[in-house]
Amino acid sequence: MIGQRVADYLRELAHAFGAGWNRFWYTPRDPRMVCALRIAAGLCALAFVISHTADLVRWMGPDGILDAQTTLQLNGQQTLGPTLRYSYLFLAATPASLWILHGAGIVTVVALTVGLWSRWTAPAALLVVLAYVHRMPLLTGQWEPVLTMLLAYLSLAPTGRCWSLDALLARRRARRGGARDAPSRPQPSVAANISVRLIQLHLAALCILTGLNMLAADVWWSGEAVWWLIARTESRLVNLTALSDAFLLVNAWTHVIVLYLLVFGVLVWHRLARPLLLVLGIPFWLSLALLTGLVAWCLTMLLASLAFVESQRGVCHEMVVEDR
Amino acid sequence: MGRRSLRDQVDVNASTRLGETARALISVALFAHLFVVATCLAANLVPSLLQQKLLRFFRPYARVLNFDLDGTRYYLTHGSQRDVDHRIEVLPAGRDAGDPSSWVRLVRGLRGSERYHRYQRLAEAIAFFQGDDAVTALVAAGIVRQSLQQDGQRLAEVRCRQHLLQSWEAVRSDVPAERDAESATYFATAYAARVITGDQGQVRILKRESAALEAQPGGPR
Repeated sequence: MIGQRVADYLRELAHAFGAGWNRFWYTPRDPRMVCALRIAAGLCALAFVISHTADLVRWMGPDGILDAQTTLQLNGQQTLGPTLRYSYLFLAATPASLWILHGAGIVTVVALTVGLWSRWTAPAALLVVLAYVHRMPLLTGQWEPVLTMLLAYLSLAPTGRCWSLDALLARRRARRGGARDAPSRPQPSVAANISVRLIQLHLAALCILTGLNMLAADVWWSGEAVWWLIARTESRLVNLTALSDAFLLVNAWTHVIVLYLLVFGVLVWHRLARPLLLVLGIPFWLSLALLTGLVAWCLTMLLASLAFVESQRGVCHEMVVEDR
Repeated sequence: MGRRSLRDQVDVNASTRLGETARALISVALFAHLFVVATCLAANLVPSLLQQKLLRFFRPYARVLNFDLDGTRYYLTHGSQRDVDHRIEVLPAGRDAGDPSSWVRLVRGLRGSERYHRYQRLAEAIAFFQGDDAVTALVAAGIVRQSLQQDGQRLAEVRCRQHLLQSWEAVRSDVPAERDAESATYFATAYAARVITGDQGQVRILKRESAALEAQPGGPR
């Protein structure tokens, strides 16, 4: 009797999980969101690659601070076995070749941003960003894992279906071919949905991870953490030491940071809480950028949270059914 | 219907009606990927032995695509010795080490920019690896070599300094040195090395053993 009940429960659990899994991953989605994310991620990647320009030879050139030999030696000393840090920038033996590779990287990322051959330029842009990350792993921070995550997941999606040169060229070709019934709205796609779902999950997990990591230290419980960020005179963007007179505000700000990160990761999946959390994310990430000086990371996290915006408008499966 | 729009229609049909086998394969790949990502994220702060073994196993996938956070700290601050600002300072040859104005801070770019942060991270790395002479010597030698070969400037010393944090009570202190976050009391040297440059440009780094000082948030207290 009990065995039968357990078996029924497990069967129902498996069925419900399977149905939920399929609905979550395989419901076609309007690809406009991945197209918007392509532009956002492309701009972030462009900022990342261009940020190396002024010090390109100083860091990576022959006799640079971290020339290829030094980086390989450092990687070898920190890792047992193969380092698995592949970068085509290791091939640059002269400043000229380094500049050529850097220029090619910028062109690739620009092509992704404007949506030219986006099926190819998305993985190529990921390759470009990874090349810089693996070339100087010592100098990477919180920004790079978020940026590479976005580019990796967008590589799976049809990011050129709208707001892109690809879409413009396709329309021109269709017009030249005499087609009058070219779809005005891009068709929903499962690949777009998988890409957005991966970004959503990864982003939510990163927020929870950051919140939990903070709680590992007393300063986030005692409410002092924001003060220790304010006190970093060489990192902060604005001087907020005047808040020493309003320490309760510092306590509150500290608690709000942890609360937002943990709540975002959990409640952003709730239909009603989502819009509120996304709107609150704007002052949250901008204030965090001013406080920590981690401008690129905060802006990229804010832009990545765009991935949750479309979910508010309902699943596209229903749109497909309606269209038919 | 044009050739392109016909292909679009085929794409839509294929994408909206995935076969059972395709779904199963994609599901397995998604599950495996999410497991790797979850392990990498969960192991960010203090990885367990199991997590370390799993990370080593996943490394060919996770590291190549930068999914492993590999020491990147996702917590903003823990108010610890690591969570202070670091800077690299160099002393050009022939200058007086005792004169604070002789030291040149190695930093470029606007505050908040990635260019600026890279110099900070290099300094943090030196402070973090201060016990590992091989690593710190490699980085210090890189700084010296770059200065010599690219800027034509010989260096006599390299040091990494920590800018200690000012407590909120110290901001309102009556003691001027405590109130000023830029005063000498708020700096500690985490690493310092003498540089010997040969005639052929060979560089030797001699670490100063007395350089590493304890640094606590709230600095002078």
